[in-house]
Amino acid sequence: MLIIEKVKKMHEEIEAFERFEKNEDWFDTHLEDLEEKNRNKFLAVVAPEEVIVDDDLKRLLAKLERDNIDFRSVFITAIPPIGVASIL
Amino acid sequence: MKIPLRLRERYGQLMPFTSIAIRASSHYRLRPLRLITLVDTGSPWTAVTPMGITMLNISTKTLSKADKYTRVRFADYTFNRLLINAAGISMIDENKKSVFFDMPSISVLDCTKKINPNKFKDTPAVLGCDFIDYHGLSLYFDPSKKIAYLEKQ
Repeated sequence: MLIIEKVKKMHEEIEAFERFEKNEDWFDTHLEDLEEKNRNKFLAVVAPEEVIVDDDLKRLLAKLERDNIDFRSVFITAIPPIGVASIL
Repeated sequence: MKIPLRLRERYGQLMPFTSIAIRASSHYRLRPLRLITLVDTGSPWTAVTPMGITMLNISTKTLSKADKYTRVRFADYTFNRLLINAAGISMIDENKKSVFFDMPSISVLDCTKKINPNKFKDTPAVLGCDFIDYHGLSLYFDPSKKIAYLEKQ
């Protein structure tokens, strides 16, 4: 039983990762447009074309939690202000 | 075994990123998010940054202090180096299999000043030299061919 549960968990993790990767790919292909529209904000790609944006990271995470979104597959990033390199 | 890395252009340069899930004892109550992570040979440690602290909902009160190099200075800020002990990192290899790497600890950089966490719009985590060394990995990074990966022989 324990092995079945472990295999199931691994499958779930891979599936979540594949969704995460799709979201990341979508972000990369729309990077320019997303950066231009969302300067200095936090951004979560829940699914391709489905983006949640907020100035406040905690509020963004709370929105995801409230909507029962599977955290494991959400691509979250920040768009720095124009001309600013955030390296930490 | 290879872990493919994603080359992403940041500030006009291609840089190697991956996504990781941090595993730790349930008492840390980490949010199960994948973190976009920079493979950073300029960092001695694998570390969660202030943005990652918020993303994973890390309560810094539950963390122990590092024995050595307890403070890290960067730009105008000083960070306490705290530790998530007996942790692990889960990544996906070239065959789309989940690979688990244990780590004695993962550093957490907690700003000493009380400032709005939204100020930090950064990479939520970095994979440092400790990770590469501890697991005997080598880093291949060829931006001209747009290839990057971590490899264990």
